[in-house]
Amino acid sequence: MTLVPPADHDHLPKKEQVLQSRIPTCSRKRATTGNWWATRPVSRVGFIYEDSAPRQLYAYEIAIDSSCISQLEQQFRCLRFSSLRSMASESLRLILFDESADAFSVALWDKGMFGLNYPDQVDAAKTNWNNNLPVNPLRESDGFSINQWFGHGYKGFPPKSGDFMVLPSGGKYSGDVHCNRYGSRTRNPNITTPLPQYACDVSQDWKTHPLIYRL
Amino acid sequence: MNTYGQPVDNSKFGGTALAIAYTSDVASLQPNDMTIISVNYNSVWEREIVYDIPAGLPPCPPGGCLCTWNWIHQSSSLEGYANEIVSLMGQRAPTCPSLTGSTTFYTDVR
Repeated sequence: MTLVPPADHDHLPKKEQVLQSRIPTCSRKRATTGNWWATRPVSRVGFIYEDSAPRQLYAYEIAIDSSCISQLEQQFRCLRFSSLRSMASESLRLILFDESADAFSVALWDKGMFGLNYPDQVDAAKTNWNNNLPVNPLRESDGFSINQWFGHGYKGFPPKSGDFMVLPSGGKYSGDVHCNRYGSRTRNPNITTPLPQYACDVSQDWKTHPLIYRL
Repeated sequence: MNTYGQPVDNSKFGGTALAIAYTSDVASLQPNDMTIISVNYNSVWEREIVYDIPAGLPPCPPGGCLCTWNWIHQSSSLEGYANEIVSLMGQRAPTCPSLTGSTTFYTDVR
């Protein structure tokens, strides 16, 4: 099996690209926002393809170095990591999953929201259909100011002019709560698969797509 | 915490709320400006979420209202993350502890 990044970034890594097994101790876990998880055992490994601008990941990731890749290759003999090795530096992250860490977070997605296209403005040329940044939890220990946590710190990222979240007085508002924009009605309109039933997927795919739903 | 593959335990839901402020000026918007107008006790669980919007809400100013979606996290025994969020918001918005300020929206009442 060869690792092939998805051609379309709006779609998620294929099942075959997610491994489920014990991860070797070579993995040096690193998080972008702290080390609270640093000693946790890891029992899954997954990876996600990313394009140029690195995203802030609320997830486990390891710094991929050649010795670690060698260990991974030995452990997962069915896989060839050569392609991973060549891609590691700029475009591929290996992400480890802790079975015990069931926490995920969600956001309400609406075209009127601030931060819909974060980290870019909503009218930027590039649309972040895979946006999970408004979802990421904010931690007390980071000592945020009100402007940093209120509205998730996205006051400077308004929706498109004229795009409102419409609240019908005396009626009902129906919205989408999901851990990623792709699971909401604000997703890429070219995607026609049914929207997920749950705020973060709990289908059988959970077993094989851990990274998708835990980022 | 509700876990994968188990029956839903509604007591584990912290609930979510919509709050509104009748201003279009996001720069000056503060947590205490928000007023809760609707709650959904059985969330977060399914993707689609419905809030009853009270009748008789006054119309918004031309630039729209501002709205926050607020999620009361329940403790996650293994992770500890959710607890921290609640305490964070409680401390920083003591007169309005239910606000977690997750997301802000420009809102129009129709």
